[in-house]
Amino acid sequence: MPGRNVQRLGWFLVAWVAAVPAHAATPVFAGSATLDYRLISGPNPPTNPSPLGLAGLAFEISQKIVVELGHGTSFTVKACGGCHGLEVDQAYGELRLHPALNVRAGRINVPFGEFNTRHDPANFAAPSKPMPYAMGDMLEYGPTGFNLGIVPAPYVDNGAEVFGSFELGEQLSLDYSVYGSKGLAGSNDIDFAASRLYLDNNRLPAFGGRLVLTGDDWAVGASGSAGTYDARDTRWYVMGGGELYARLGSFTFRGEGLFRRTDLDPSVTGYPLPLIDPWFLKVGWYGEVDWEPLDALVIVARSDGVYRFGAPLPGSQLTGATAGAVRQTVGVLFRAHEHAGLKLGYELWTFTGAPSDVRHVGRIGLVLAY
Amino acid sequence: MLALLLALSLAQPPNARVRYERQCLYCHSAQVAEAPYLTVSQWERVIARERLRAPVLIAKSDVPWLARFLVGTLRRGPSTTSRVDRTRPEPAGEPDAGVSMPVIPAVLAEAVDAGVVDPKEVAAGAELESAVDEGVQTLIRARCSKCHTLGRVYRKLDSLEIALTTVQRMRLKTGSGISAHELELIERYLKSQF
Repeated sequence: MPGRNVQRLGWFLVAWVAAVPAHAATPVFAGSATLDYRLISGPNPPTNPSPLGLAGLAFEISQKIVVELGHGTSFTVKACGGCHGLEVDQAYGELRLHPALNVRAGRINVPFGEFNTRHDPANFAAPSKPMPYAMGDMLEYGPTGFNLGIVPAPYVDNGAEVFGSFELGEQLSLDYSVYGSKGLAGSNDIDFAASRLYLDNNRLPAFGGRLVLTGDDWAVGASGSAGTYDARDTRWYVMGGGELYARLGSFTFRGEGLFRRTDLDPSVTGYPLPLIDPWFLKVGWYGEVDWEPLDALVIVARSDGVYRFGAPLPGSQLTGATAGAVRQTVGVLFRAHEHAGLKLGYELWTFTGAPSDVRHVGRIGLVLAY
Repeated sequence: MLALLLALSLAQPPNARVRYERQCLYCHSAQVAEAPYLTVSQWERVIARERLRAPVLIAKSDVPWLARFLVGTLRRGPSTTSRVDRTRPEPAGEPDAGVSMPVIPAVLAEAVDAGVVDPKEVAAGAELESAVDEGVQTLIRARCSKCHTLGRVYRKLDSLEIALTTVQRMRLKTGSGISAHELELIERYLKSQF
């Protein structure tokens, strides 16, 4: 019987290859470069171990190539450079079998949340990433503070993804994506840099998915993921989120709410507060309005933040079991040229349970893209 | 959906100035775009050549609109009146004042002048084609700008093969918002533009 099944599979593949029109390999190139500078208020700006972090000037560059091989098959490779040197952001093969069933495998951008699909600085109008997706570009981002946002952006991992779309009406579709991947990594809390390494640090893969219901000019969705993050597969993280997108004329509204529950290591000593629950919860959100009065001008207003509930990590400077950072942003994206844009922004940061109180951040960025 | 797009397009006649700014000035400065002084048919040839660089940005049916706007409103050429123009009532205002009027390529205008083609049929056909193109262009702008800037759309989709495979790939991105019916409309539009 297994022989017959293999034979059937073979015939299916032959029929599929014959049915899909062939195309020659046609590479499509895309790339972007971003140079941005931030000026932080206060006599003692937060220090940053990375020379390209929040201390001042940052540079990101990316180059992507997509090769369509025909028969619904494509390969994508995207390399990028920035705060952590050169990285491979995407390197995967994609097989489009049917609108409702497709496969992507390799080094993928994990489908978690709406922002991750447009994480390239050339693809969002705001002068910075929303705080739930912040990595080094966040005040108090280190292990002595909030220890990063909730989910990295880009969220890059080795894994396989099955995705597709179901038509529920002429203007209503349900898109899904489920995946298994190496998962986030760390020892006592997540470490985004360790999560991007090519080798898995433990034996248990992480699983997750994203579901998006899309109408004419709106979309609502949810994402979820879970896995173990330590080397011995003993500490879990569970994260989820909801997303909202709507467009009304020249206004675009986007919002997301995300959370991550992360186990802590109770055997570690030095927690500044008694470890009553061996886990903490991080909650983050952003709400953003992009107004495009002209084709070349986008005005952005955004409110975002991250709150952390639970015992601070050993060595942390957080002063309580509840700590939060909230930011209000106004910004402008001026597309001066087909391939160039200028971003300007002002951010007001306020903190709860953290050593910083109020910070003002001004940003200016040049984005080049093709 | 097609009927809706048509209705919307016809209810809101294409504004020639908006088209000009959105299409010609997307890549060129006004100084460069308005430098030549040409006849309508010469402008049509220039614009037709330029649109090959970004066929998704400038539809075939946009070419005569833009040529007439450059000559008629921006005075970037001598104004001439063909038999087609003479058969049509004079618009109440400038072409960019929101007045819907069919625009006919110079080659067709010559055919009408020669008495080969009925001007009313040509005008109706051109208006319908222009309205459909405008509707699909609006759809492309709305869907593609959800995740990235339109420059990445206009300059990347420079051949039919790349355009079709890219749109199919993008449509399957989770949350792309491109329905199967819209994909069909966009594919039909792309096939007509290359």
